[in-house]
Amino acid sequence: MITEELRDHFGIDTDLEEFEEAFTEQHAAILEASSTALGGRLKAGKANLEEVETFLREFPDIPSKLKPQLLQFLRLKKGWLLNRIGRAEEALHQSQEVLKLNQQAPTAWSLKASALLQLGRFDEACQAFQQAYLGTKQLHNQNQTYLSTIFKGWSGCSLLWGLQGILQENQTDARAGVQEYLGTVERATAENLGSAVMVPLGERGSHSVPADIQAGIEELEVMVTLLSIDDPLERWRALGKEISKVWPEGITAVDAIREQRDREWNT
Amino acid sequence: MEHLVCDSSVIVASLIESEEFHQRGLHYLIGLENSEYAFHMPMLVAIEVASAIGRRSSGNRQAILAAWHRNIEDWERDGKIVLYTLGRVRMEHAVVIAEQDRLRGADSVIAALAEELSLPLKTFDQEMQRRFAGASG
Repeated sequence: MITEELRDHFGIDTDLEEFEEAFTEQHAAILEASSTALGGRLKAGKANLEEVETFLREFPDIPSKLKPQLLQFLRLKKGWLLNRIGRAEEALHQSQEVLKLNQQAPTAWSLKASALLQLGRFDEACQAFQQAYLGTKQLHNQNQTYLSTIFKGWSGCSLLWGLQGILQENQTDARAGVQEYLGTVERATAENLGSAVMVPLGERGSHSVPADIQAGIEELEVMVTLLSIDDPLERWRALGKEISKVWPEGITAVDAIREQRDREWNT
Repeated sequence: MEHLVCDSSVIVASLIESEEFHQRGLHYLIGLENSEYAFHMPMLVAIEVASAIGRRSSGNRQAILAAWHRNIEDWERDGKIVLYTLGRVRMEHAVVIAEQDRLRGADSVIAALAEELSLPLKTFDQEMQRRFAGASG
């Protein structure tokens, strides 16, 4: 299980905070038009969960055409604040409530993705990041900063998915996570946002991690390197180099196969 | 293009640089990629290779197995290798080969495919080479 400590180690939580900031910036116009005291505090990044909940409960008299947008924004804001304090299940619920009203809302998909990431449900989180990306692409005035934040979260999430697969010796998850990461790199590069994509996790760490996790991170980097090679023969040669590093001395290919076929085979 | 039945030992040897038959194994794999050879193999070979490299590698097991898996997928998609199931007819043929050539179970499945397809069998296993007439290294 990927722990909170590990997310912190790789700066994933910082990425999620950037997400929240980008989200608030995107809705600056709604906040200004609402002309409420809370609007100012939200814009300044100072509002807390209690204030947002009180506002939602009492919902003051604001122009009716603004109400649906503001309500949607505040539900998502509440979700971000819940996510920040580790109440990811409730944050996920907020995102789903907004998606019931607006299935396309990229910001709701981003919150959903971040909540699922916190819950360690990486495969579903990657699907939600993809929806956030597609939704953002459909907007006419697509925001490059927001897209860049999506790619950052998406790539980090896919690497954690791969790492979890490696640590749990689950080949299906390990491969799926790495393939997702490589797909994200390809998409980000096509959008000229390649620099937004997280580099393999080993280069990110700022604190020490337990030896088994460090070994998993190093293996993840080897997997990313091998699977990023498109040419099968080139990949085969690279695979040969990796296997040769960890192959026991004196064991031949025939020995390794013969022991599969003959229980008595002595190597 | 030459069609071959390929034993697991050839594939594993092509990966291990310190192996006696490494260059010879690599020759077949380079030939596979350059379309000089096409490999025909029982599905058992794909399993044996995964098991051998997974069991014997002392590190990076998941990364190594993922790359092996990807290569098998790519080569099968590109028609460079053809994988064969073991159905009843092949089972009966393999039993005959096992009795006739005194081969072990898995060896006889591979040898039977070579006989069925009338193709040479490539293996670095000297016991298989001795017992089965169609086998060479």
